[in-house]
Amino acid sequence: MGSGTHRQVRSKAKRAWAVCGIDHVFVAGVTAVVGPNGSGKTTLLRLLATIRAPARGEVVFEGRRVDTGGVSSADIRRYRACLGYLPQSFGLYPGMSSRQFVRYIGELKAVDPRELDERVDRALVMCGLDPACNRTLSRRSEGERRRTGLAAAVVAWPRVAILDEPMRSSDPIERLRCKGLLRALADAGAVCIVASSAISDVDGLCDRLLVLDGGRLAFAGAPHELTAMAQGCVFTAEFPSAAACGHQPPTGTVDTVIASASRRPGGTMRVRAVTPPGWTPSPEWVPARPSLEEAYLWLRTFGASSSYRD
Amino acid sequence: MENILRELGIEDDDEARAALCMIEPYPAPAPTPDESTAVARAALAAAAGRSVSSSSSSPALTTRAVMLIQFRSMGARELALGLALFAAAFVAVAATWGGLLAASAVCPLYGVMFLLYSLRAGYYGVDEMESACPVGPAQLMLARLLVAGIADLAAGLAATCMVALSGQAQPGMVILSWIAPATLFAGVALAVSLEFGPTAAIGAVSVIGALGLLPRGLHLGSSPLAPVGPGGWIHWKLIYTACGMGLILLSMGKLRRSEPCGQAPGGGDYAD
Repeated sequence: MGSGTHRQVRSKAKRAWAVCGIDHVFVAGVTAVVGPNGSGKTTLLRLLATIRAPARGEVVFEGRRVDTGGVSSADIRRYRACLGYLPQSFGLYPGMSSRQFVRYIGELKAVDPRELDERVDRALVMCGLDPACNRTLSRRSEGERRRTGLAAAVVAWPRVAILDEPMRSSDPIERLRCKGLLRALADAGAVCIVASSAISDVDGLCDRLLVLDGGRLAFAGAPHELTAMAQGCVFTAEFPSAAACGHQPPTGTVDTVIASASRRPGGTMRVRAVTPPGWTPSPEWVPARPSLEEAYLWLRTFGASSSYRD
Repeated sequence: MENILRELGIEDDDEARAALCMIEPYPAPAPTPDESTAVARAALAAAAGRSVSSSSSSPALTTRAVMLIQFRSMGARELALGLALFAAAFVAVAATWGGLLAASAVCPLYGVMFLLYSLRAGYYGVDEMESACPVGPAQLMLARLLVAGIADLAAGLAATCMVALSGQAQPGMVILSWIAPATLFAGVALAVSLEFGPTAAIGAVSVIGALGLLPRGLHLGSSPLAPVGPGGWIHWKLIYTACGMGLILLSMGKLRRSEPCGQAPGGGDYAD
């Protein structure tokens, strides 16, 4: 089982700390890193993937320092050999086919040549690509190119998979496939770290959740711990019309957040709202069980500045 | 799920059933039968695969092995196209202005073309993905530079043979004619690209080429990039060669020192 420690890492970008004060142990399973745009998700993943060196702090894998500010290149090489990394944005060599590219990355990962072809085919099939297709990457769609990148990231069947927005540009079937792949990796003992700006992508998939805000850890824990924190702060109500619900916030003030509004059969509107802790709603609002997305919304809007409890 | 298992002929396989259960709970639209089978096959393949480990992976890749990987990934088409372009340009210039000028003008361009091949990871945006591999970006670039250097040398020697066989000049003269601008251009392009990226390298090489041709254009005499011949520029060729070699060695030293640091050479800003 692989594990990575990321201690008090800071990375300076554009004269500001992109991530700061993050001290976390990643264990086997799927850990989702979520947060708003610019919260430091990609920077954190790049630090963990040894793409950039932390200005301060260290990344430790199985007791050995592996960040590029470290001293032992052998440790970094060993770590990178067990690492599968999918960047947020990346390019591919346009003259290669998906198979050629995945094979190329497999060769650079020093996969045993006797197993390479089998692993390449397996990675391509798992990512929904036809291993026999010789179409070059320049003629592939955005989704297919992203899946090729994902296949390249998992071709060595990594012990640490760091995937930045793996489900971007994916249709629902591909999301399902990607979730199945991540689950399979995690169940086989890999540390899967997945960054996503969409909570729905990681809901039901992740074992642990990291919420970043302004480069700092706002929450770290199991998803059910986050939803438990928002318990009692999510309410639902049904209104006769869309116009009516706009004037009936649960607390009678504008401090609530409408999490969702859906039209029901019969023309009524069902509204779900996230409220600050300790507020008493008006009678038409009934408490509801918070979803992960609503809990995230609650944390971002009303949660304490740091709810880190690792 | 039962249909999928039946279709795959593994109804009694509990492990397969567990693997399918793993992907069933996700709230996505129902896949078509074909897609279900593909997903099932993927999940089963994953379940049947070894547990995650790199037991069969050896992180130790030698520069020679990386060079072979780079050479293979270059693609026969790219290589053939490069050689064909070189041959066509060489023959065209040689037929019009003479073989010595062709060697002097075409070989450096060919060298720059292959140098840009060395920088292709940054150009195509694959550098970040390659940086997460055990070999590291610096070793990769070194391997590409060596592959490109061998290709340049082969092309230059072929050109030398062609000119020498035609009796226009001594082989030593021909070699100096092309190797001086080639090393200068390659050294500048490499040094600039490591600091500012491949686009800046193309700009720097273009500026040097234009400055070199300026005296000729302004009728101030022959160009310092002109082939070695009666009347001089030999000392300039030696200076070019020394400068070029110096820049190449400095750049390679920088690449070696940066190994295995993950920052891709000339890869630009990674700020979030």
